[in-house]
Amino acid sequence: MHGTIGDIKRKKRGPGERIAFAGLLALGVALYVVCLQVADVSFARLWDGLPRLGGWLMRGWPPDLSEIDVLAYRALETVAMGTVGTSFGVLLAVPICLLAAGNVTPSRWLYYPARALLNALRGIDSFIFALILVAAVGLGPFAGVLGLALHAAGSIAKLWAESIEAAEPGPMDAVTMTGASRLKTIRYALVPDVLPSLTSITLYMWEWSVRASTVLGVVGAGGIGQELKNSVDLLQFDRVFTILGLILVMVTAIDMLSAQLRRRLV
Amino acid sequence: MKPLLVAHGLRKSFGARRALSEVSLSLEAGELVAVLGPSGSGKTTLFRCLTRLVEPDAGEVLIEGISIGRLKGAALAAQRRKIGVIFQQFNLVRRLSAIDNVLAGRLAEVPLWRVLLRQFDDKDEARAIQALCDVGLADHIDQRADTLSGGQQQRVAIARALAQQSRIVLADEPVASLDPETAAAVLAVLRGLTRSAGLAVLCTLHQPHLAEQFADRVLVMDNGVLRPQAARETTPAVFSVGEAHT
Repeated sequence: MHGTIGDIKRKKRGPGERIAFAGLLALGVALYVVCLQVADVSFARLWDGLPRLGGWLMRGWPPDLSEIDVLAYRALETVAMGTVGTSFGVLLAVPICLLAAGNVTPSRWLYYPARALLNALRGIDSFIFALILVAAVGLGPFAGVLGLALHAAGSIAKLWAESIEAAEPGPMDAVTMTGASRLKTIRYALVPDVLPSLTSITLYMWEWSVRASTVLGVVGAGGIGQELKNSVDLLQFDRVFTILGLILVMVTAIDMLSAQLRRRLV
Repeated sequence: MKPLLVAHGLRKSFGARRALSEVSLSLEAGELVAVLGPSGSGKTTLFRCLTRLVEPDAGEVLIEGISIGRLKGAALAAQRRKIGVIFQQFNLVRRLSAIDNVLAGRLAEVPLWRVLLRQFDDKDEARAIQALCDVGLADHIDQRADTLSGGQQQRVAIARALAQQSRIVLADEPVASLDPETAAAVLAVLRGLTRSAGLAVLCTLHQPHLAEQFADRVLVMDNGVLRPQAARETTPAVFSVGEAHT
């Protein structure tokens, strides 16, 4: 039994909720201050270092283009590593994501191990994988390819699995009810539905892999990063400039190409 | 004539709540039977028990004379295949064309490699085209499902059930998401096929006037009890819009 409209009140935030919020905020700020301490942040040191940085910049101009052909080949090697690494990652991600997507996994006993595996692959950066793999398969871009593939497999599988889990269940139910087996149902009702978003994720990971592969040379895993490290070690800043320019051009071109391709999907 | 679908004394409870009590029905070729009832009255549970998606606590279901109660695996799937299901939300694969959606009805019998390549033989394609013609969509064969109107999509779903070559069709609120005119058109298609193809259609509805217009028999589901609609029974109280606020 209600009285008049005036008796209906919205729920108000109580003082307890406000105190709890203030407490959480204070805790957050305290943690951030600790982080600033631990991260050894010192703007004074940045200020002192600025003249040195400026000097290098001056010495780096004009860029040294004498070895542009070698550097361009290294850049190509970087793109190739990113591309092949992503493609191997895709091959690994297909079985993992089918086990790790809740709505298509054949069993809970496979779901959790698959989730654990992809989180492990995703959690370890390709740089770290490459560092270890260089020791196993030797210096050169192949170690980089393997490192990129392992990390990309985890990331792709995770994003794919999420995309598959978001797919509408209705069409799958309907196709299952026609008597189709599980594999046929996945192929016929699920794949056409999610293929555009899976492709888009793959292209995004390809961009990411090319960017990531620019630094793999630092651990001896091939590509333009190796030249970058050599030049910095030898204080050849005019060469560093050329390399940075190449990296920018390469990454921008890949990003634009991938964005174009992704726009065509849907 | 022997009935295509028979249910005897189906009972199902979820905990203390009784969803179905002693439900029996029989469905013959060439008849469209409507089940009326508010949501929560047990209609969906009945449908799920008829295909054993939900295991009934007691009772028996016979599909074309064969009891499915003890069947397992492939034998159960083979009996289920004799039932075509039509859903309220159509449940088409949106990015596939009308004909590809209809061909989904053939998947159980098509070899796996053909499904993986989505390459069907001429016989299956001809059958799918025939099904689309039967539902009046000859002009939309290659159109993507998500570009079809709601009524067209539901007709594709009916064609999918036809391509499955099931003679029993269970339609769960097939017109609840359609406007009144389209709803009548879709039910007219379903009713026409019931006659021409000798289907046995069990169809839940919540508009009594549509049931009266298109069904050969009308059953009423009320709190888990299924009974024939009384002669000249007008809109029962259970269908009135929930109580106005006090």
